[in-house]
Amino acid sequence: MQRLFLLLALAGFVCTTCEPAEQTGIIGGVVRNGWTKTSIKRAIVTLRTTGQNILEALAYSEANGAFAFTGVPPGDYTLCARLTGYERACFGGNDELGTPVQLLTLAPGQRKQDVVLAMLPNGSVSGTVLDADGDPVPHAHIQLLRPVYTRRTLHWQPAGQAVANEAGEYHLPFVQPGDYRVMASAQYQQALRVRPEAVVGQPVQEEIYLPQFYPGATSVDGAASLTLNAGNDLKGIDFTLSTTPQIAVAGTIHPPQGVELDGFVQIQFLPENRAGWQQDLRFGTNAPDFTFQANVAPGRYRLIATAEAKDRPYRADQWVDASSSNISVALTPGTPLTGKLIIEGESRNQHGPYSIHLTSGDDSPVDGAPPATEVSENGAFEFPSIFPGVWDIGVTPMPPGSYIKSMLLGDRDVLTKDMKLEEGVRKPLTIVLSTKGAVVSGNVMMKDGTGPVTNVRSRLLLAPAGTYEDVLGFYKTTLTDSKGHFEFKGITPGNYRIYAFDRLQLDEYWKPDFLKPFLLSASDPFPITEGARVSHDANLIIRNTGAAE
Amino acid sequence: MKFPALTSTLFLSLALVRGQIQSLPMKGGPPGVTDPNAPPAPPVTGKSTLSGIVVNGKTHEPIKKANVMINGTSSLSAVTDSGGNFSFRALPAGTYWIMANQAEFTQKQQRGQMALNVTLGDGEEKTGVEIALQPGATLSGKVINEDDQPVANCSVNASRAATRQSPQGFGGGYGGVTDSDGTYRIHGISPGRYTLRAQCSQSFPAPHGFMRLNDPEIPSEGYSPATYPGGGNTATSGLLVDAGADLAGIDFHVQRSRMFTVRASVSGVDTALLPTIQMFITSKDTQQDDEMGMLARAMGRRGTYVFRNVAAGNYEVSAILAQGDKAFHGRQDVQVGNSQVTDIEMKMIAAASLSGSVVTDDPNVQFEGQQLSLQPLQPNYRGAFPFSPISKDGSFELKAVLPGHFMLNGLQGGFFKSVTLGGREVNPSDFEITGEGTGVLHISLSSRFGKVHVSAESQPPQGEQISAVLIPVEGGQPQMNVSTVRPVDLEFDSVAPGKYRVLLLSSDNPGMIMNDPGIQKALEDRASQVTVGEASDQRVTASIVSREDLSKLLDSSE
Repeated sequence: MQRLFLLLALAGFVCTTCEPAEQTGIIGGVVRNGWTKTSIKRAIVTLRTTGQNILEALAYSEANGAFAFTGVPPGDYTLCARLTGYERACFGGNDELGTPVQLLTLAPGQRKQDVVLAMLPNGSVSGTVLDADGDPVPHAHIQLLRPVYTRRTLHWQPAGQAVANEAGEYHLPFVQPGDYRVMASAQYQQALRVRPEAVVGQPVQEEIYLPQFYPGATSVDGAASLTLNAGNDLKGIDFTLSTTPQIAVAGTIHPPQGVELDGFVQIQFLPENRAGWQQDLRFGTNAPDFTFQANVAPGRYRLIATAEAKDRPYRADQWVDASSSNISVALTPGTPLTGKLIIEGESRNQHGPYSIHLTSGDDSPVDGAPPATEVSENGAFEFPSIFPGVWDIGVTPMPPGSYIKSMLLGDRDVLTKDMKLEEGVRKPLTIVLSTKGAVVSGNVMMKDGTGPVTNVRSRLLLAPAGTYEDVLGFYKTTLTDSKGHFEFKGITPGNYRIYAFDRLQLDEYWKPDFLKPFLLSASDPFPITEGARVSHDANLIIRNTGAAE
Repeated sequence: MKFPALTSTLFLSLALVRGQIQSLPMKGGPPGVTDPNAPPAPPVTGKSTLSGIVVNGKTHEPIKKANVMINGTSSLSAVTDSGGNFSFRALPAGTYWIMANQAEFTQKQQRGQMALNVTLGDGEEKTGVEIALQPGATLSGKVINEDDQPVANCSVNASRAATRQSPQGFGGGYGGVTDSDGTYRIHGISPGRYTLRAQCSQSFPAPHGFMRLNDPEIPSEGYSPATYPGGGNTATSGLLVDAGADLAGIDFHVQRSRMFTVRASVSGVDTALLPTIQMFITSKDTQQDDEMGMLARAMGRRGTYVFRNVAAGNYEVSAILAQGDKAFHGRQDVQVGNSQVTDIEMKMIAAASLSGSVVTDDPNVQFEGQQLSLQPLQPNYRGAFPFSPISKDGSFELKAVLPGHFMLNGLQGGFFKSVTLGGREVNPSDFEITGEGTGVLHISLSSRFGKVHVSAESQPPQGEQISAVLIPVEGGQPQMNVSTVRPVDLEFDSVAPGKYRVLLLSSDNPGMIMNDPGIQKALEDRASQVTVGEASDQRVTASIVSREDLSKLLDSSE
């Protein structure tokens, strides 16, 4: 009783405009370190409502780890704790990444005060970076890389970085569990090698450091994959950077005839097979010559030059070999892309104004914000200047239940295929947005036929089957509610399978062949037509080892 | 007529940037970009050699992997081995400057003296040249909050105290970031007096009941910055760091406090110009010598500016727009803390033009083509420096003058005999222009300069470079003259009437010394006084401040 009183005194009162006091209850408990079981103070504990408009109440755990929310109306909630240095912990357990946050159902007047939020500490990576002489490399940069299958191809995304100190030591804290590769670099820094003698007339070959991927690999493909679990401190991730003679690359940027550029031209050298931006070299060059010279490691580079003249952007994008002499780079202006957005199924202005935005689909670096433009009253839109390349198109807002019915560049399908823009005049882009998206709903069932699964939430994946399997934009995910029921809205017509997982990280299915092992546990392909309301159950696929069905 | 020399920029020493390679032409060049220069001429070889050792100035241990460069008749660079050795061969006879650097050391030579100077004869083998580098110092400690918990990801910054001559501080700053256990370590610091500041920029929500996600009204908390040591005039306090010192336990205590948001909407300027506005918020409660204003982030093109993580208190929000010859400014007081978000309206006012005329007593002086320009005196003047051509009849119009304190830059042919602003006499070296109706600026130039001859009380050794410094007592640019001639007799022939202090220094680099206010103050009692009248000729004697004395001053009062 005394403990309850104490909790009430410290509690966070959540809602002053809610139901009368007899109906409200209390949600409380403690926040602990999941390994040492010691209490955690000053963890941020959040209580969120579920449904359309999510509200959040927030409290901090006390010195003894205790927290409480009072005046809580009955309903379904999610309850989580977060703190720098720890993995997020939620009610219902959150052992594996990708496990959906479980719901806490509070009955009218219920006092649920036994919640334990066990937070696991983050991991860390540390080691040293030395050169071939055994001396520390000044300002060496260490980068964690994680594999991400954007557009179904492997990309290495930076995930945490550190700079070594004067002794070459680095320490990267707060690393989330996952699989990583580690890269060390001292890019574009003159390699310091012992060279006490210098003779007039004898040229000195300066050297440059080559990046290294742990352990000792020259490219990310040859690197080892390090698995970091919660609380893991990976030590001794050491590097010895080798050097290579640098090559002087030189060239000239040519603006188009008769165009006077404002300011300087920005040049980027992106090495072939780069992993992370640390390997990129950026600099500028000026009028009147627009010549450039850079000292780089041998190899191929993607040279991207950008400039402006009277607010109009210009760009060059070409591959060069470091050994080429006198590279000639011609700047060309972007050309417009015009189009029309057609809304089917409701009056245009109900959700507008709409805007269209483009993101690069071929890893072209974009300066500043990605191109975006507003759609006018009659549905017309124009991008004044877009450079050649592959571009992915996005429409905002997407009203609830809507889907993109078609995207045509002239008469070419760019919804299920890449939109590749060339130089010069382009055909118009026609986008049809339909508000009559199909709805697929159902329940997640136990494999043995009993069910629905109500004790735990699952994550559902609606995957196109057949021709459009590679169109990531057609995949949809959702979570079940506390009764095991799910609903997908705004589905593009086609054939689909449903997978119901106990855990799924949102980018796992981007990897080609990820779904293959689960094919037999998924539902058989079934058709979804425009505006249909389909009811289809799914069997739970358990990925957690040792968990009971 | 001789134009008074602009002297504060007259120093020949090469500014060495910590840890980076000297900006001398080097064969092969540093990686990354080099300036596209003309291709180097084929080098002339000779028969002389120069070798030596780079050592730690404090412990005399050799320094490995130090960069050593010589520049002169030939240019070369070498990197020392574990014995600190370097040798340059096949050098033609001639004079050379030698410099060395290494990431963890600072070069003593940069402080007031030239780099090591060596003359090589034909076929000479000069050995044993010792270059001593000062070890950098290390500062370490932790940042903890009021619960005695470490705070990670705080920036800890050590910067040289700001001076009047260099309001932004000089020599750059050093910084580090706290690790997961709240500890930081900054190394390679050159000796001097530093202000240390810890800034934890993280913000976190304060406890609250049910609110929408991303509601701007969600109360937030953050950490106020902490300094070490706290308070006081930073020019004389601050932490004294000796060469190679290892100062541990430099801890900071930060306090959590409620943080608020200030939103300012701008009016009075064209919407096209909105993105160019710079808006700052500065505290009115704390009197800091180095004003650290917070810069607002613009939100969209709607002309709204947002300051986040502002602690409760009284502030002044100021806005500046300076585009070519157009300038606008605005100022608004705001009290923060009454509500999570405080909205203010910032009305921008066009900066006034300041018109006026110049008259002179010398019919030979030509105004046409000369520029009248104002030099802002405060460190945070954010507009363009006002200037205007003077027309034949002496009239001028300075456009877009933002409020502040200014100095009139000198004009050819005369000195400022009298300057009035709106009918009131003002000091041309320091006068204020307010926002409203300042009146007309009248400048009266006189060409009746005086002369000052400076001689030494006792003659210094042959060949030693002596500098004379003439410092106006009322403020303004000092003048300098250097000479190696004996007997010492330096002349200043365009001296405006007024009171002056005269110093004689044995130094090749008087500019760097005179930039240091601590040294200026210390030398005050070594200076002689002289009063110069119109068209007068004054003689004054001073005693020479020796190199040893200057070296001692530089070492002690940094």
